[in-house]
Amino acid sequence: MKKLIVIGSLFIGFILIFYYKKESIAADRKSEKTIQLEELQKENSDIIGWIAIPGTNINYPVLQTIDNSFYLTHDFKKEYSENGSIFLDKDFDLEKPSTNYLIYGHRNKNGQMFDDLINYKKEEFYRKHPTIQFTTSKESSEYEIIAVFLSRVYYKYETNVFRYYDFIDADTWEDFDNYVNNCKEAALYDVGKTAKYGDQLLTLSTCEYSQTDGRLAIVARKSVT
Amino acid sequence: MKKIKSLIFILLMTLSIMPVSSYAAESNLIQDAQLSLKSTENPKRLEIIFRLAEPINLSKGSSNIIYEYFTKDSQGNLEAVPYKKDKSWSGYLNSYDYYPAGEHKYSSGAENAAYPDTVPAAKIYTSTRTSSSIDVTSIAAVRVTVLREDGSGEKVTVYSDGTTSTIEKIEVIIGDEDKDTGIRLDTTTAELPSNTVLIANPLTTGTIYNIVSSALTDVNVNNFIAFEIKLESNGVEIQPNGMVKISIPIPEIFYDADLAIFRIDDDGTKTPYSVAETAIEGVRYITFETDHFSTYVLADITDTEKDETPKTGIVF
Repeated sequence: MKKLIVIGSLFIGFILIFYYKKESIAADRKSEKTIQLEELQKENSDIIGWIAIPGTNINYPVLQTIDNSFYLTHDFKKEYSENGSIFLDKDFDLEKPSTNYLIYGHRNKNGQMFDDLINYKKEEFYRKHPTIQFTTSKESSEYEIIAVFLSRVYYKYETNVFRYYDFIDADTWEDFDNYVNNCKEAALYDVGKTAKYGDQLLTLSTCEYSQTDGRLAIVARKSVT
Repeated sequence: MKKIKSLIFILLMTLSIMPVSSYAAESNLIQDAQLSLKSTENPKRLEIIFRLAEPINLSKGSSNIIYEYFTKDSQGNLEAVPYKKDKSWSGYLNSYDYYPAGEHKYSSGAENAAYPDTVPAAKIYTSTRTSSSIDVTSIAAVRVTVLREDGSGEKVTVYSDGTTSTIEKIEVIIGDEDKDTGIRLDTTTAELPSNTVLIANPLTTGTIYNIVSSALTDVNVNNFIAFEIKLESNGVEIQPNGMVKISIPIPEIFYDADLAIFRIDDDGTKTPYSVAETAIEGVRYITFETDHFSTYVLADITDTEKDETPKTGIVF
């Protein structure tokens, strides 16, 4: 009987050690990215996160300030730059956080900033790059793309149109479902994934020239691991 | 004087609430088609029985009712009887009242002579066909095509086993242009009768102009031109049975402007339409599609406000 207790407690002990190790590795990895982010934040407190799409040129800090036009023409050091920065919509509340990280960026002809996003018009490109990595001081997550679509900036008088750029907070599950359904309906191809109320969303937005004031948007949901 | 004015007003009101008919292209032209073999009698003959929903003009030399004959091959597939042999076909068309109190036989004999000038609507027709070179008992199906004068019509295949194929519509492209404004209508007979006339009147004053004007205040247009656009067939105002294309010539003053088309209803409701620009023989047009005709506005929206969303663009 004593033997059994000894063996049993040893077994439990091993399990505990194993779990502890796994946890600490995960914590280390998380802190590594977060530490880098914290270093950057010392230079500019507008840096709220980092975005990367493996296998593309997209690997940039994400900024946020109260004026949505500032980072259209300033780099992450707040210095004038035609390329601007990748930035999060001013209305996104990081404390909550809001439902949909709405992130903008220019397209630079040399392939910088959000230029690679235009390749997502082709399903084949999506198949090779289906996930977006996004790190903030709170999370280091993978986002799975659920829709890629084309849109445009609408006139204020236009009704019954889908303004993807107006969605940051879902007050109800209906708001959320409406957004997701509209995205799926506009999607250039079906990726076989969707999102449900409660999921964290991330939308990348850049310009697209098949129409006046055209836009290309990529919507992703935080992957649940 | 006042009395006359109010009388005119009442008259106008009455006119405006008069119902506008809609073009009912969904109604079948060919109805109740059926094929029967009268092979036991001599000479052997086929009977194609059908009913038409509207009159068909069969003026001499025209072939507004066309028959094609099919046999079946060993696999059971339909095989057309070649035209050469078809020449040996002859027949005549009989008409019965819909409630057959009496038989109205048009005539009989050689094919062309057998036909009346006009086949009236809502009658039962029996087209009896004989052939000097084909054994009509081998005929498995007959395809009947009935065409209106404008070339539109319907096609149906009737089988000797009593079945009938789905009626296939034959549509032709039609169009009209309003001489004064140059506004064009482009569509097919699926949406409108071929004799449709587009009538457009520019509005510069009056009640409707004022409604248009105030409906556009919140759009903040630089300039606009309003038209009352309507469609008529046989002098009766009609609405299309689906989307039709409308093209408005762009006036020179609008050449460099961003343009929009709005429909303005009598209660001031405005509906924006998706537009495209085209050029036909050097004339620039703005085009849009609609299924409802009323007052339309071509507006310069160059300075109209758009949503505020970051102006991301290409950096070179």
